[in-house]
Amino acid sequence: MSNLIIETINVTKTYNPGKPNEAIAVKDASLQINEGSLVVLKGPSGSGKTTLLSLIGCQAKPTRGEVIIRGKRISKLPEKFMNRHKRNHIGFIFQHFQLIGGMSVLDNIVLPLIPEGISPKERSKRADRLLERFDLAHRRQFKVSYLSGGEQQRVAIARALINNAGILLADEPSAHLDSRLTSDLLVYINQLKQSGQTILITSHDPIIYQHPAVDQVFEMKDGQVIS
Amino acid sequence: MILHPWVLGLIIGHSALLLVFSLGLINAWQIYRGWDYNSTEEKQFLLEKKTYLVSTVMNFALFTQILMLFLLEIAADELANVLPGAMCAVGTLSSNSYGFPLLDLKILSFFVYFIWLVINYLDNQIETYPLVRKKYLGLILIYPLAVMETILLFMFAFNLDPSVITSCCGSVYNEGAEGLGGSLAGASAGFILPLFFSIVTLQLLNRFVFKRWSTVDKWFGNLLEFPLWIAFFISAIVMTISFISIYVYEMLSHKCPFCFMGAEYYYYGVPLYFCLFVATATGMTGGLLGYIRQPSILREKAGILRKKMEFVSLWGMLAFVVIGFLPFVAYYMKTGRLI
Amino acid sequence: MISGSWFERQKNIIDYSLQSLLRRRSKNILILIIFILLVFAVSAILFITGSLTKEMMITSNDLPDITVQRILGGRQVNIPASFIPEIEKIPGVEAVETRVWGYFYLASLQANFTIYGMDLTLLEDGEYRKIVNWKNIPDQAENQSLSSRPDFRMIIGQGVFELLKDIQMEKAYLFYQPSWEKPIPFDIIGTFKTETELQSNDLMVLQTEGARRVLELPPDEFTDLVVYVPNPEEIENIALKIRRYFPALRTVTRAQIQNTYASVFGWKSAFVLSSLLVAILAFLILIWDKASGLSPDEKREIGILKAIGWDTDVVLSVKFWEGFILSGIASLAGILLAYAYIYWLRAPGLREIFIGWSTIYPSFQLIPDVDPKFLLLIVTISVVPYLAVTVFPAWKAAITDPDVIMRNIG
Repeated sequence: MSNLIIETINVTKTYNPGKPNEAIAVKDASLQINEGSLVVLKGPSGSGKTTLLSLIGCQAKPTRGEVIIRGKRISKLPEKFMNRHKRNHIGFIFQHFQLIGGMSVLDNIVLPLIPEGISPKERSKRADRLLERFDLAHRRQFKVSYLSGGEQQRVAIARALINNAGILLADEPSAHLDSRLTSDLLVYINQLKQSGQTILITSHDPIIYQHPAVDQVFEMKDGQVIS
Repeated sequence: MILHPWVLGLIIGHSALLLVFSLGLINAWQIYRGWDYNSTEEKQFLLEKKTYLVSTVMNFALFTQILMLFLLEIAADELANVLPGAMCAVGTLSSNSYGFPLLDLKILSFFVYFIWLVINYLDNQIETYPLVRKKYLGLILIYPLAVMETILLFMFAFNLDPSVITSCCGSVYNEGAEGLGGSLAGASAGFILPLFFSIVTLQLLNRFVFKRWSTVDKWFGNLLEFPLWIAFFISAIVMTISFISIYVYEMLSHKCPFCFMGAEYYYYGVPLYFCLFVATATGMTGGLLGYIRQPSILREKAGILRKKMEFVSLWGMLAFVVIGFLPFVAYYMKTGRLI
Repeated sequence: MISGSWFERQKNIIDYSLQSLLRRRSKNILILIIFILLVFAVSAILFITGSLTKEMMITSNDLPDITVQRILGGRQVNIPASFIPEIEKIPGVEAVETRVWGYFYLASLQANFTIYGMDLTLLEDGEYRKIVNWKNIPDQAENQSLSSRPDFRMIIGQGVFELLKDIQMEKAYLFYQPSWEKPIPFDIIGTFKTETELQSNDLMVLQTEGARRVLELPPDEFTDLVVYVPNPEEIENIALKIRRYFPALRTVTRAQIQNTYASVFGWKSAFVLSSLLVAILAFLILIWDKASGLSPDEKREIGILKAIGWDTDVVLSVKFWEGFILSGIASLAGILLAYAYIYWLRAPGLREIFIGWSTIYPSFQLIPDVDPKFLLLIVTISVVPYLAVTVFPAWKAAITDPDVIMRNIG
């Protein structure tokens, strides 16, 4: 049953190579993640977990090494094809939510669907399902800047799920939440795992990486995966 | 004469086109020189991003070129008001030796830009961008066309002289006249009609019959399509001047290919030329796509695109024939005579 | 994910672009206003030129096909009747008519009038009767004394009438030149109605014989000749022949007059347009500058879009549509404003520049001439350069890496 859904092979990311401010964010990182598992990348800030997550999430290309998502090597692909793969398989939740403040909750959630040519009606339909699930229906037309931190978090999750991607990546999802909201978050995450989602989270919060539902924990330090 | 508003419009449009194209050229050169698909360096990523710039540039170029074609025709028409002897666009264009070459070059450029954009679209569908270097080399070779066009435009504008009497379409497209105009007008119906229709028939044969015979198709059918479309375009223009125009104007001596673009003739020329240009452009491109053999994934995608092109060009050709012969049929039904 | 059609995709993108423009209202409003003003200025100039040209063409259609004058010593002199049969002989000439006219300077009023000689009885009947306010009809009882001098009657324009009223000469006027023995009195039997003001304001139409006397025209001579040629394509040829056969004669064809006006209007408008060019260039530089610098907010937004899977293509499309919509709306607004300014408000300010310098036909009617051709020209001058200038900045924005939002706090 367990098959590899995400694999990285000696992935290295160097910023500004050859220049005085050269920085190696990730060095020779190799991971294997099975489908349907909940995995946490833990480590102090600066350890490169965010960078590794963005490499897996097709947000950047590795300087060396391979990233393989659902059997496809994405590292060498031109942006267009990498993006397509990303859209079909990955949902990303950013550390600071990264919602567009001037837009409504609905518009933010359906944002990934716009270039796909999905009609407004169909978009609303899909969004409404998620709004129900995350208890945001009453906030449908509100501008996101008026929402509380917890609500914004849920909008960010909904957006990541709108394209029915099998893989969810979350970067420090509890960073702006208090402990009550963090436990709410964990409930959502657990639900998602139960429905078959593969989830990879970066976090330095013990509440997260010590949760019983977590299948694997990788630790990172100075850009390398040490366990 | 260069300060006439229409001339200014042409100059502004063209300058914009040349400037943007130059931007595209610089980047095309960089991509052509430095492209290395397997590299993971920043430089390669930047080059990849630059491909978007060049695509945008060429889209803009095509859009502007189409606009300029219309603008040239209208400007020539308007300028006829200030040039003695000129009563329509033909008079303006023939008032100096740069007018018609400019128009011809524009038409050529239109087709060339279109073909490049289709090839670009095709190439972008495949992960390895197999045609990258060829297509940017092609762009570098197309650039001189744009430069020449701009030079011709400036020469044309500078040489417009309201004190020199120029001829009108009646004397240019006159069987007795010397030069190309005369020969075009002089082409008798008995010559051009069979020629045109045999080309059309050949097209249809090629499309529906030859393609079924795979050997013929491989060596003959595919190769034939591109030149056939060029022949189609040329014969269609000749036919427009020497045959179709007679029935639009209902006058044996009026054979101008521009006058019927105006309001008095219900803008007849617009759908006519639209169909002709679209059919030729898609047809030519389809024919070219048929030349692509390697690699196989490219041939596959090219095949799909080609089918779409063929569909459009076929209907365009049909529409052109129908629109073109409408005046003839109308005339015959009205008068019962052939001329 | 099932995808929609290309059309749906474009629709979505256009919708998003519109939304995006509206979200950044304050940034775009300044650009929009300047853009509208520039388009307004260009359109106003084009409209007024077009209207004046059109009106000129219409009025000048009444001009004769060929006007023939005799030149001696570089100046126009009277033309003897002997030329008439010779010109009539030229094939293609339908008729040759004679004209008697000239200028008369009234020193005491410092006014210049145009004198035109014709048979006034032609005006008394038919459709022309109604363009005259008839007064002092000679055949009526109270004006018996006038009936004996039919050659010395005239009809004058309103402007002349007003002037003569000031010197109490509104019933009869005395023409006089120092070289004459005695003044020649003319009875004023009518004035031209105000509808004909444009042409008749400073006009005095005298009975032909009387006009000859006032203009000192010898019996067999005329001021100039007018040639009618039914086939318009023949006009230039015939004019050429006249000049060749009779080197003393000069010809002016209607087409020449029209061309001259058209080109005068043309260069006037170009002149004003060129002065706008500087403003337009400055505007373009402003656009480039504004577009090139992405606000951190914009950068973030594009970063987000890229991060959630939007292609560079799509972001470029959005930028393009933003530019297209902005320039499109600005163009339309500018054109509408120009239309209202020219045809509704009658172009205060601009009108003086164009008409004030014009020497003939001061027209007060500006005929709306909204040819779709003009719209194409205006779009070319406005939308195309705008898009050209935003190509590079739009691309720079669109290639923003999603990294941007991953790495820094914003």
